[in-house]
Amino acid sequence: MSLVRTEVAGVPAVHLPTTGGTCSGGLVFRVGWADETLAVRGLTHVVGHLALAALPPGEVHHHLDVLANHTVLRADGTFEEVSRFVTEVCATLRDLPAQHLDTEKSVLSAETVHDRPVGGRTQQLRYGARGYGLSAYPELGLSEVDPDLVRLWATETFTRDNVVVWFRGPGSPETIPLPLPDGMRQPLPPVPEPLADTPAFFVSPESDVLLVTAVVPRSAAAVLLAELLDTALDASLRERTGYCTRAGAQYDVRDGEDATVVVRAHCVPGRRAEAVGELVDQLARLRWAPVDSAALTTARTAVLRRRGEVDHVVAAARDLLLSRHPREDGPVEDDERALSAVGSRDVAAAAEAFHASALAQVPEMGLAWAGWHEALLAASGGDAEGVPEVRADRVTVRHGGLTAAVRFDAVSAMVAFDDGGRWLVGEDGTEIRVEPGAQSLAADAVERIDAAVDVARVVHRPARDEDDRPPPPPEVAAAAAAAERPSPLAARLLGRLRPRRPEA
Amino acid sequence: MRPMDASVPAPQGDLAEIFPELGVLRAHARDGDLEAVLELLEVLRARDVVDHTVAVLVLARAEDPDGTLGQALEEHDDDPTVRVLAAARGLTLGDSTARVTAEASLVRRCAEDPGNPTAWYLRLVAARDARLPAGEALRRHDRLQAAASDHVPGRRVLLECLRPRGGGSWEGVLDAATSASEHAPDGSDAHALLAATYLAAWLAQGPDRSIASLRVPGVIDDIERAATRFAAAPCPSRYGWVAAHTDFAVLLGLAGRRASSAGHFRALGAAVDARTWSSVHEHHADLLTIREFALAEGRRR
Repeated sequence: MSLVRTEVAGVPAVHLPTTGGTCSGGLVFRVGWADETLAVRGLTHVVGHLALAALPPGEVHHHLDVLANHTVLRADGTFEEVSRFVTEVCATLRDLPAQHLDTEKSVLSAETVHDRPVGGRTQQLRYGARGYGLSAYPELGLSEVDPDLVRLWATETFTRDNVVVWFRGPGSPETIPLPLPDGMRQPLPPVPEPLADTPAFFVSPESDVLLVTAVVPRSAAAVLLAELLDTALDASLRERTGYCTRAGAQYDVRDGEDATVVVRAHCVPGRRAEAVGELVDQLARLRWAPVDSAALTTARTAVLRRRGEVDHVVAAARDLLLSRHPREDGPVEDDERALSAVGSRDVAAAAEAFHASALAQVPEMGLAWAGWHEALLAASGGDAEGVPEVRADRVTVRHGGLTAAVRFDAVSAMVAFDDGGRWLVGEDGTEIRVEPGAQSLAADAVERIDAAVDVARVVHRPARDEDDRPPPPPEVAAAAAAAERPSPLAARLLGRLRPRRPEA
Repeated sequence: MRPMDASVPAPQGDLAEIFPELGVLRAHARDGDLEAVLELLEVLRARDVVDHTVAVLVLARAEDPDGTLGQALEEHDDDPTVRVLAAARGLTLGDSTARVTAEASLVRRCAEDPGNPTAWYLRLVAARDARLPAGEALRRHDRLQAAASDHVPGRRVLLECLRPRGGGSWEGVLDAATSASEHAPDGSDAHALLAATYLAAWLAQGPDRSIASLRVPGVIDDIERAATRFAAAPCPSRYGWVAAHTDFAVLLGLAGRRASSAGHFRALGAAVDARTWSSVHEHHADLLTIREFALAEGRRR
């Protein structure tokens, strides 16, 4: 059966009717982690958890997925159960249960430890410390999330003007009550100009991960490219050579027009150079060697087998929110006819687009030999490399002959430790660490930074153990030994910051 | 240096002068006649893939004073063999930008035709020249071996990649050379890799090196054994044969095994491998004496 575009209580909806069986349904909101700032990274996730926290336990199987620019709520059960879930979630979003906030934050803090962001530092380099670049960062802002903030965010983004209802199964969802507040459709996260000089790479010797991301136009050919890459890399990097313990590729829709293809491999220590070389050759094969029809058929079959009906409906709902109107068959990527029409030349063209915008993190060797450009990484400094200088509109630090700067009006987040340390992250990804205990700073440096940075961008952290702090230089250590009491500056800072700290 | 016997030909290190078909090939290239070049290369490829690689190297080093060859290569870059040829010239004669362009072109060729030994051989050369880690050189050599299991010029380049300057060790190179010799059939020029490696390790000791350090009996006995196996059957590579005999002639000559050395010089006739021969220019006087004796002896037979 085909997808049906409809409305539920005046809200756009997509419905895949079936003649029987269980029902799946839910809501897709046009908000995700890429809409947050780094200082409140995790806020959407908290709201989503709270929306489900008030549901009676065990009544219906439900699930939450917070993605870059949309959030999916899903339930599986009978038509009545799913309908009730949708209505109850909407009602909860109007009045979030703040009493569950600390519990949910604890749960998410534990989850974030195990989360491995897709795209990693390549996304930081492509987008900075905002928008889609936030995938490179943990849910840093969980500690800052308070009841006021979650209500404000829910009121702003979890509204009837920013949602699409989705349904798969028998029954007519049109009559389901949706007690959501009015609002407005949220603009998509900002996308900066594409990087110049791609394909590009940077070497990250501290990691065994080999990562390549590329932004390509959304297409069935790009879906098959990712599938073919996934198969080829698993076979060539893991199975045949043992260069890697894991290797694969995936296709992620970014917005209405573009998708991100991510290649990720975990290199065996000692085989890192071979893995990099083999990856280049595998990418080249998809660019230059015709893919035979049997491989295309296998890839197409794998994509279609993996794509369930629910994924299909949710993707259609997502596309409505991304201002891309799905056809009757659904989104462009997993349309069976579109996949069947992809030929060898289409895959080669998609591989060419991948190559043209590729950004790679490699553990060794680099890719200059293959003609890739060396990427200019966002500068960082402030540890042993140099002493930060606080100016009227920015903090700067000299590092390796270059000057890194974070402008106060472009701070993505500032981590403020109770021991006086300040870690500033600029929107472009530049990081500067200000450590009064370890650097010979001006006496009022931290005070001036605190006065200049927007409080909404500040993430508070308790004082670190001595072992976690950078060691003081000799002259500072001598002065500290002479003074037994906290400095007046530190006392003033603590007094100012403590009221804003969330309750333990 | 004492005057040379006029009846003994001067050492000839130019393969295009030694082998007529390579001379013809180079003449066609200098004329910009790529059709004839490609045709002859195909004949050589059909005969032996290693000889094809050597022929491409001869063309890579060919002088092109009026740019005729360069222009012809540009005009026919839709032909995969022409692209390999252009890449070989970029690697051999070009600057760093040309070498990167050459490698990119070779990556493409290896993708289009993973079983192309010459393209993989040139990628090994590129890895050596770019000083890529030994692991990557080994990977490329694995791919070369999959395409042509007895590509001795490729193994020579691999051994260069495994040297200490690439992060390896002379012990590792010697192990690899010994292994290659042990596993090679009689007649294979792979037997000469042991001699080439000892010679390279000795030269790497710098100007203070002692000739006595080459004359370790156990080592030289190993080289003699390898030389015997090399001579035990016809060499499968028409061109690799020159490098192998030169390695043995030079090393055994420097090590004081003059009779053995003379046998290899006699087999070579006028020919020598230019690279090996020039690497021992400080010892040419002594080696030329052996060579003259050998060639004069050969004429008497």
